[in-house]
Amino acid sequence: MSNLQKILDRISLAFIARRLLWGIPVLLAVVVISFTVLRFAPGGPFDREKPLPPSIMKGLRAQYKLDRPILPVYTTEDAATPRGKELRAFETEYSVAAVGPVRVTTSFAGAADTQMFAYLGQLARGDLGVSMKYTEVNVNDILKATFPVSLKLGAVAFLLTYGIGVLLGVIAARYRGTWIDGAAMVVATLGFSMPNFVLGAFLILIFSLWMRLLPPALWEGPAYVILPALTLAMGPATYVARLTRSGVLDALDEEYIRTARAKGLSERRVLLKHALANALGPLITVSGPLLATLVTGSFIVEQVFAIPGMGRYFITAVIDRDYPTVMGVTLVYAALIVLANIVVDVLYAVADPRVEE
Amino acid sequence: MTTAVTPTSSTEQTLPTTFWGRVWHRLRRDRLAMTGLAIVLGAATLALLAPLLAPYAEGAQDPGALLQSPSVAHPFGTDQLGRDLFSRVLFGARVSMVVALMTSAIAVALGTALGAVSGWVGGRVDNVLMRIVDVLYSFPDLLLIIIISVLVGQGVFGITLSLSLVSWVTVARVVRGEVLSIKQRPFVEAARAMGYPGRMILWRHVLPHTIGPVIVTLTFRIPAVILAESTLSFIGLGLQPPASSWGVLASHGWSAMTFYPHLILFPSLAIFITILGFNLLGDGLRDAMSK
Repeated sequence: MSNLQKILDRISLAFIARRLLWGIPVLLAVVVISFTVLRFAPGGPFDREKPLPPSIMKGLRAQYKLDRPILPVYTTEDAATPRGKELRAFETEYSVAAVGPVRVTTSFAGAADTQMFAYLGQLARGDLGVSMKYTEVNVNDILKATFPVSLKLGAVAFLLTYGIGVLLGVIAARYRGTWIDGAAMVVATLGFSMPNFVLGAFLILIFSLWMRLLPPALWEGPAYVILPALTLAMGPATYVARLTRSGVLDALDEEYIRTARAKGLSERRVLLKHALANALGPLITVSGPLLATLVTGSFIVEQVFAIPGMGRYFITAVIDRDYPTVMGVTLVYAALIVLANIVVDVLYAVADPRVEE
Repeated sequence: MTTAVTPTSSTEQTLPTTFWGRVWHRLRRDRLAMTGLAIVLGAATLALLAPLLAPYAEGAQDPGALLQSPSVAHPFGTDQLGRDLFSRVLFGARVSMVVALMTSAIAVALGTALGAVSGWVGGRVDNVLMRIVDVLYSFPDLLLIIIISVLVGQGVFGITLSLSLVSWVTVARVVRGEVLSIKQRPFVEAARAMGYPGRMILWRHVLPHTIGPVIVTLTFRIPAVILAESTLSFIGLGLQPPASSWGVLASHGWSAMTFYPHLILFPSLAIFITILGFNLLGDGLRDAMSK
């Protein structure tokens, strides 16, 4: 109880609030940048091998507001440019220079009419828009169906990462310099040295096709989580194993370990309680970036194992230029990473009393 | 050299006097690191000499030998167009290495410049740059890479550019941290006291101290880029044929994995061994520099 009280005392609410507030501009920047870049990327959601009739295309573009300017524009009026011709803000100077010195009157077009502001307004209402690929389906609903799948996969992978990593690291440190140390580190390096899809392929080959123990794909029950989560976790687990090993090894040279041993504590207790605590700081610090790695990895792993999660939708959405879906997934992932980093900062302050803010 | 029987106690006396001399001295005794170095040098040599070593010309097809398993004529077997996989892996090394090295070089240059300025100047500049880093960190890397490669094209240039733009952030963080700590050291204060201009202190006294960590970061960046490039190929957003990096080869092999495992086995072995080499070398370098 008193321990918990001490920990709670160390967490400054103002600190958390400040970090949460800072998350808002970060997310806004992510949205604005990805929206802009995405919309200026070549290709569109209604491109087909056989082009749609112009009239239908026009209707579709109007329906999804794609015919509006993307960003706020200047409207110019002068002799050389036809009345009302739109120039993107950053093109103004260049285009004007190209037609020579002319009298130009520019006016700022209604920002509310642009796609960017329409999208931001929509977001403010909590609406992610209608998919341009699966018309009639709202992106909110797509995410509601796919996010839990990805979250479950990510959570299992996260646990596996730390489970495998800490276990290998402690074993390696305990048997430092012996073949066990070497073997543990070689196993740990395996995950780091292979693309996810290759690792997944070999796991499928071994556990599904040869041994017939686990299902090779799809998402229909607990057994379906194991192979993809393992594929996802192996790379980051390597990293955790190395950090754990060096943290524990550093601690084993310290006086307080000798004290613990002198007190007659069992070797297991010395290792798991006192030495491992020394590795805790770095382990917490990397958990933020590791989560990001897992998130990015899940794009691929969901593809390999045909799992109906967000990542799989994301890749098809990018290829189809399904703007609202891409934006929705990006926003969710970015929010996840921002939140994770805040949690990491707070945990760090909890684990290490020296950290103040 | 072979006859020298040096008592261990005298090694301290024979330690080279320069920093890099000491690093090399330690590295040479690290068996794993030397294995890593040998792998890296070997892979680089194979990539350079690919046209001389490959038994078949680049892209040569043999309609009479489709999808063959490994044999004497084709050590790694052949693919669905009758191309010799061994030759393809050799030529693929060039593409993979070029992308990895160029990306890392750009990332290191950009990251070092921005990280150094950020750490050295501090204040508002540092704040702005670090907020940009914050935003980039919150982006799913893959999204950024995909968008840029869609904009610039999916050739070697486009992939390199997009991968560098997400890779520099890590380097910038490392360099900034180093510069911040070196800034506090007495010799920097001494240089200030002697009236050297700040730019010169940064260039001549601070930056050289960051080379070690930067090299270590670089050795870990290169394998990361090889992995990222393979991954992009796998989801169909990487290099486009005829360019065939290891990633492209492995991802082609993936779809036929059940029936022709050799198609995925050999390219991924090449990726695996090379990355292992870089990681071992990086570990060794880090140990050698931190002692």
